[in-house]
Amino acid sequence: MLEISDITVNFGGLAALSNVSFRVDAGRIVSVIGPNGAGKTTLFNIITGFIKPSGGRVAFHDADITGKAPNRIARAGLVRTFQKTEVFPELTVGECVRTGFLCHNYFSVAQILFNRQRIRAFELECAAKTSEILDFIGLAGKQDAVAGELSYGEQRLLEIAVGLAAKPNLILLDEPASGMNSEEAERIIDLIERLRSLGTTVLLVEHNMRVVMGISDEVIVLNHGQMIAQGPPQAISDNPEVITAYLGEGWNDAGA
Amino acid sequence: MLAQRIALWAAGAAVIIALPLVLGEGYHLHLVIMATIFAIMAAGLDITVGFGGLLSLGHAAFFGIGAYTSALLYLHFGVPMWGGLFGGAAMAALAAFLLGTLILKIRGHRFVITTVAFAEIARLVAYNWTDLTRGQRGLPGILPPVVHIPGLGTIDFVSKTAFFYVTAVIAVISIGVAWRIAHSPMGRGFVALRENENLAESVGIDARWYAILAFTIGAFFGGIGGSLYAHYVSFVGPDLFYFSYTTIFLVMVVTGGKGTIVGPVIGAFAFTLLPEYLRVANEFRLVFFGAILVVVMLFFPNGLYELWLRVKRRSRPRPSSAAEPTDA
Repeated sequence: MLEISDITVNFGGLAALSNVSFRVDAGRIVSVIGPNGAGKTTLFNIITGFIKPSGGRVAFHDADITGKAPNRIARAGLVRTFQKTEVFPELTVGECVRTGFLCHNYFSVAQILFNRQRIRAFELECAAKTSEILDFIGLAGKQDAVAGELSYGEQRLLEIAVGLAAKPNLILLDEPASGMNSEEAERIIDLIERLRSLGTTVLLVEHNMRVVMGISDEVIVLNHGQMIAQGPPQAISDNPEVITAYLGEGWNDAGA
Repeated sequence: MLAQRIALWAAGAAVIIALPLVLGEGYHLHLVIMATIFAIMAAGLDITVGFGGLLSLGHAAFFGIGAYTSALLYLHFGVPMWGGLFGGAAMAALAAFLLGTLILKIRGHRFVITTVAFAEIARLVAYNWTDLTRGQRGLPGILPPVVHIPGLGTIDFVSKTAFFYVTAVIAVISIGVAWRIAHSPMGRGFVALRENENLAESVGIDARWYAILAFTIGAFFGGIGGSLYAHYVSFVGPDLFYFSYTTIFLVMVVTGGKGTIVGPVIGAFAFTLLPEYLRVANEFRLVFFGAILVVVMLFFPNGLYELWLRVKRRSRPRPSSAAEPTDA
């Protein structure tokens, strides 16, 4: 579904990523882990078109999307969330989610003015789907709350809800469980699994090992911009190179 | 609900019909006509600034382009105001579309500065292209329309009363259209752009295209305002492009309540009438005007429309949901 080949990016003289290649198959949950500064978010920014790579290729559904505008990549079915939570702060939760439906629906001024029926039907459909998504995410009843006034954890969930309104085939979640307590992290795990059961493929950047090891089909490890390991979670956690590079001592006590 | 809406429309129509009869053909009606024209300008600018979040400091350019287009169409081709309205609006929208396509790839400061520069360039063109515009002397003699209706005779819109009615109808349609666009899926795209551009892009909203649309639609209404102005005052000059016009339009939008369409309309009336009626204070008039602006912004940072909402909420026996009165 997603194929990354030889992605390289240099910031000044610094190689943030060098020759990273991997693929994400449909229906899987793949995690990218690595210490801070390993290039995980940079990788996400490249995949979603926010940064142009110095070299390499990103293909999605066999089409080259390298360096395309983020909105075009999103319309192709690849939607992301951000590490630093992004919502539409002054809008209500419901309005935020309804904005996501604009991804696959564009109406011209003529349609807005002269095809009221079509617009009304679209708005009704949006309202119904918004409730559906908020139920799914676990924000039912928060529909009229102002997004900027939600708790941090709720804002993270809302951001995923907005992304889901854009109907992605592949969703990239950048540290969805960061700053969450273990109970909230459990909810994220549950949510990601339910996403997959709906047929959405998930690519995840995450520091919370409980989340990563609990749900990933495959884990990719980055260190200093290089891919040092790839494999199922168990193999990764046993990989001595990964342990020294990233997990450090005491991981076995803290995690599983 | 429907009965309420009909009552509201009937009341509005009654006010429009009654105003000239109450005010007479004089100076007061002149002010109301100007305020009505400015209300169209402000509602349009609200789409750009209030909804799209694009700080355009060149709205006067579209006012001027609409006015000059209308004037030239009339003087050279005998096109009456009805055609001039479309011509002026189309010309202003085209200018905004081309400018927007060029500069709205990157929004922010660069856009703001470019809009100022664009208005200034437009002014210099009007000033220096003397063959076409007569430069500083301007173009006089742009008359209001005359309509011959077979069997009914002739309606001449030279009188302030008649011109007011035309302006009011055009304003109601324009502001209604602006409202519809603002409260449509497209308007939601504008708001997304204003609130969080990165998030908008990441869920598939083409930020650049929506920015161009918000800018162009705002300019379209600017052109309508300019065209009406030209035929009302019957004279256009390079002064129409002055930054002071942009400033007053922005003041109307912001102090009226940006992002509400209704607010800027209220702002247009308040800030056209107020400075004139403050003339009683003679040389202190602008001081008072400034002080009033400061007070409004201090106590109603979201504009005069907020004041109206508060009054409305208080007058209701029991506040229902705090939802805005949208019909979309």
